[in-house]
Amino acid sequence: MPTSTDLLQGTLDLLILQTLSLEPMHGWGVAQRIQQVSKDALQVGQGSLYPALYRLEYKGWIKSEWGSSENNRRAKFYRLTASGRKQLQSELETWDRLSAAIGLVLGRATEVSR
Amino acid sequence: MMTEFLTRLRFFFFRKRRNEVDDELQFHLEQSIAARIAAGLSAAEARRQALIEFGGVEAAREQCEEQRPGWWIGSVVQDVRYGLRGILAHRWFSAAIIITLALGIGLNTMVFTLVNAVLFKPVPVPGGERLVSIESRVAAGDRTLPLSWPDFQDYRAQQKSFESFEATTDQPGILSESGIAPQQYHLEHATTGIFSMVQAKAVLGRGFLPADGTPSAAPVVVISYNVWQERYGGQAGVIGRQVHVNEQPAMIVGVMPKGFKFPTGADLWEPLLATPQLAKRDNRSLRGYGILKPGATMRQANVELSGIAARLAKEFPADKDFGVSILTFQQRFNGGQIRMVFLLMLAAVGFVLLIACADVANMMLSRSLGRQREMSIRTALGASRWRLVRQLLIESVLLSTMGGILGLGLAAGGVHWFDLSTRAIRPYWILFTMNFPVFGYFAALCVLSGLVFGVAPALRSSRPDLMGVLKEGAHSISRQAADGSPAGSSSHSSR
Repeated sequence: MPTSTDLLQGTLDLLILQTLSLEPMHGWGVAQRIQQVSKDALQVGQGSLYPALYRLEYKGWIKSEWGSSENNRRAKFYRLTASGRKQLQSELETWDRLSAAIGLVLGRATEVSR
Repeated sequence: MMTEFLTRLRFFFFRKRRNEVDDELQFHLEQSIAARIAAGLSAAEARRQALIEFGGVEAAREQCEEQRPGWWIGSVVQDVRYGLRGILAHRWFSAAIIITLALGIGLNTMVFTLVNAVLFKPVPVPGGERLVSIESRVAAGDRTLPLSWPDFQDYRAQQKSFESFEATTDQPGILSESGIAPQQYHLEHATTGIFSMVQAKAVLGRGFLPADGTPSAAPVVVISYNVWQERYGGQAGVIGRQVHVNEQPAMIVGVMPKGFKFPTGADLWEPLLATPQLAKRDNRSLRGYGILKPGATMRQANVELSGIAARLAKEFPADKDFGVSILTFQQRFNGGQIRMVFLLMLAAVGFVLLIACADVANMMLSRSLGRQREMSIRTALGASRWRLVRQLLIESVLLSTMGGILGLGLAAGGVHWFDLSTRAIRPYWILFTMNFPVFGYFAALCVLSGLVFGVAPALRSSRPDLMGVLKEGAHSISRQAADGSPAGSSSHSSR
């Protein structure tokens, strides 16, 4: 469960930033959203989710606030900061470049872009 | 990225509440259970499955904590505190190590201070780190000769790497006048920029004026603080006094500050006048001194002056086979054997420190046998090998630092004594004092010697034979008694 490679860790950060860019969310919500959007392909366990959230918060890319959840429970909500938005933008660009390049190398350029 | 930095800084100082993570994880778990119940599972089954999926809380909590900027400082502080406790608990053992290291590190720091002063430290004048000595070099070898007056003039006129470029020639100077017995001093004939080159101002009267260097000028002499005090009792009336220097009349016009003896132990300074004798190219009697422009290197200056020297060699038969030699004061005056002696001394005390470290390593190794149980227990509780090694190394660096600080005191004493006992015979510009390079060297010694004597014992004792030692603890086999632990010795008879 501990995020093993830099690629994976960076990717999880990117997924979290992207998810939070839509609306503020609590940790559980982030995990659920990633799972739903990826059609259950990506499941984020708490063991890597929360360290990632803390890491992003310590970097100042997201901010946390206590609020109440849909079912009126106390929950910690995360939202993207301005510098987080910038970071997301630059990470998305890196991702596009990288995935396009890998696609080219693997000869699957069409499939990737689809 | 300022905001990012500030955020880090904030979290560095203000950590989050510990239960924040717990609350958050709890919420996550409850949501997970609720989702399963909503999907149709019974409450108990939902809880069971959620807990299985959730996994260990402690690991996640630790990982969250490790994301905090500077979290490791806390654990290092822990190790330091634990190390200090260990050092206090074995105080005689520690004292033996600290004294051994104090001698080793102290001796090295002292010798390095001397070496630094004799071989490296800039001359203590403003711009001293850019001050160089310039002489002629016999092209066929490393031998150097002083410059001739015309050569000096050509160098000075054509060079671009120096801020100032002056020359002196020294000889004994007998100071005489009516009423006081004549006395011999060290006289420098210097070009008139000699004082402004090193930004020296007379404490009384004046230094040289450019006009003092012209043949028609009234002859003047500037005296050192020492001469002023000893010969004239420090009277202000000395300025304007007519005296004879080597039987030539001159007027005292200035007194230089205390300790000023530039360039090499001068007591009297007279302007250098271009006599017909001096104007010959084969009369080599001048030592050149220059201050490099900021940013100019000795190598650049060397290339430039060598070019000039090559042109002079072509033009004048007297300069055939002469190059130029640019060196620092240390290289010029403390080269050759002096340099060798000091470097050998440094090497010798370096070996002394190595032997001290080997000694201490032995003591630590013998103690590490007695710590096997401690290490086994810590390993069994989950300490990684790296963590144990780090802990042990922190302990040994603590010991070496304590030894070093004691040693620094010894070194300061030794340097002071050396300074006093060589005051009469050493050049005035060598100051035996500690400066930043010395403290840097000292700090490096402390850390390095700690690592050198610590690493072998640390590696040795951080890999305990876990099962063996823990079993021994239970059954207390006789070997255990050797470490003197009460538990081991009391049940010793059970074997």
